[in-house]
Amino acid sequence: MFTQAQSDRGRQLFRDECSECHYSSEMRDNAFQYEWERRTVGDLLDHVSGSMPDDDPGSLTPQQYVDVIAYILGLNGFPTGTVELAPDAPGLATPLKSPGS
Amino acid sequence: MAIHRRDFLKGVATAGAGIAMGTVDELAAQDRPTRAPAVRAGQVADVVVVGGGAFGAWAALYLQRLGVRVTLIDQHGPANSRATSGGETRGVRTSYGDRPHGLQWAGWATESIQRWKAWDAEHRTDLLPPLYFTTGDVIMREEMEPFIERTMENWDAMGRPYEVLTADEVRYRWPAIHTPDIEVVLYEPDAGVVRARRAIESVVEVFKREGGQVRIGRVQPLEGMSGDLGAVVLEDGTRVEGGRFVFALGPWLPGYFPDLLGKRIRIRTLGHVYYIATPPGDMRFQVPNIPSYNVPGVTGWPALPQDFRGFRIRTGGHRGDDPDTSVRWIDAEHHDRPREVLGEFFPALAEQPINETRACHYCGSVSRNFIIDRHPERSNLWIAGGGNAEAFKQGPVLGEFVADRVLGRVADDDELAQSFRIPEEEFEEDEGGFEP
Ligand SMILES: Cc1cc2nc3c(=O)[nH]c(=O)nc-3n(C[C@H](O)[C@H](O)[C@H](O)COP(=O)(O)OP(=O)(O)OC[C@H]3O[C@@H](n4cnc5c(N)ncnc54)[C@H](O)[C@@H]3O)c2cc1C
Repeated sequence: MFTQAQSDRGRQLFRDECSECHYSSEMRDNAFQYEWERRTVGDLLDHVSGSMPDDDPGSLTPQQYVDVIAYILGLNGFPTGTVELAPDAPGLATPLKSPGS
Repeated sequence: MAIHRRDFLKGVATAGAGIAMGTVDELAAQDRPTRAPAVRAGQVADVVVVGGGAFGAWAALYLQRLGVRVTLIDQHGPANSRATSGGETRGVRTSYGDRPHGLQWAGWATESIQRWKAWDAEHRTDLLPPLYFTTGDVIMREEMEPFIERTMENWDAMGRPYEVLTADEVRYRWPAIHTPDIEVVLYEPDAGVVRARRAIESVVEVFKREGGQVRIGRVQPLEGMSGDLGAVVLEDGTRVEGGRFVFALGPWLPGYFPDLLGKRIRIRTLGHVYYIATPPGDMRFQVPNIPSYNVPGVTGWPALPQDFRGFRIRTGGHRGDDPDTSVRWIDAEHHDRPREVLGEFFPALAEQPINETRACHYCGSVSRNFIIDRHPERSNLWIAGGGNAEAFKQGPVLGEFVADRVLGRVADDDELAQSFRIPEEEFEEDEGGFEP
């Protein structure tokens, strides 16, 4: 659903844009999984791109938002593959319930 | 039955993880103490509470009411300008469908609403308006979300009244609200807003009236790594002795206990609160003409009488690692965001002046729950705090629970007590360079 290179870009973005307020471990802990287990990857993308960064939502490019999502998927145990996650990819319909849970 | 102080302290010293239950029961069974403050001055406190915010002030009051002698210490005074509880207002709601412990919090928040009302009924004076205002809370979303579903599940389980509205109904009831693309609306009629700083001031006044001692001073770092604590030391060298200690330091907790809490409590974000001027003579944005509101990432509420400081909106945040020095006003570079949200939902306010801004630290544990637990190496030292943006409202119940825990009236293996333990896990960054 996403590649290692994309997840690496997402990690860099996370550090630059998100770590001011968030720890990476928050994106995969029990509370995160509780909140997102009934939703899809696309829902998470909509949420993040619609509400983050908190004081300037929508200020990253669509590509940057999916890169961050790829990083979060990696944190939650989703395997990397050969195709990047794209803003309109079929992978967005995938349930977010972590494969590890 | 009277209990001798020496026996109480002896119980403390020997109890370790447990506590001499007979002693505690006797304490609890006592009538309220009637000793005058002057008589108590100079006496050693049974419990010293450090930190006069929502946790510390309420805990001190409940401890006092359980018959023990309490000293409350705060570095700047209770509900001071740098304390998280020193803000103007705090929202009171029970919609916790987004948290694993949401049902429990909803129960405590519901009980707290009753206690806020009772507090007003008992302590309100003729000269000032109440501390608690029932505003109702309208939650608006573009689509059904698990947060909404679970909030309703919780409310159904509790038998708590709520309404599911349409966007049309929202605009009909409160014409000043716009509802762009809103498809899902929940309304909690009993939710409200409390005057935060004034509320804590009143709790502390009652605490003093009932015999509690309040001192202003900064408790210095503890000496040594372990062992029961006999006293805390203030910056001028004064020792304040006690039998038990509650550290309710809010966002100062991780800095005070860096090894224990440095990576377990997060304080790096300061939330942004704005009070927006309502148009002159326009009553639409005041209680009771518009409810509190919750739209994605943003909460707020109407202006409150008598001073009507403004229509409250909370958005965004900035980074700050040290609560002693962090910036507590909001720079103009952030002001577009509240205006954007106002433009969407309350367009009549979008261009209105900003009366006040205020930033304060969110203080959240890695468990996302409160921490109310004994220090692992000092059995007579308790830590109370956390809860991010949700502890203030629950203060009247939290304080009682802290008091009960500290006096052994709630056992260590109690389910709730377990849920408030210092978590084992820590916040992590995926790679180096992480300094909490
Ligand atoms: C932007 C924002 C919005 C919020 N909105 C809501 C809301 O709508 N509803 C809600 O319920 N909650 C809300 N909260 C959360 C709520 O305000 C807090 O949970 C609560 O006030 C925390 O109280 P506390 O006692 O833990 O900390 P504090 O109020 O910070 O108290 C800690 C006290 O300890 C003292 N202290 C620290 N170190 C020392 C020392 N060494 N010696 C002596 N004294 C010391 C400090 O001076 C301070 O007074 C919000 C928080 C923020 C930041």
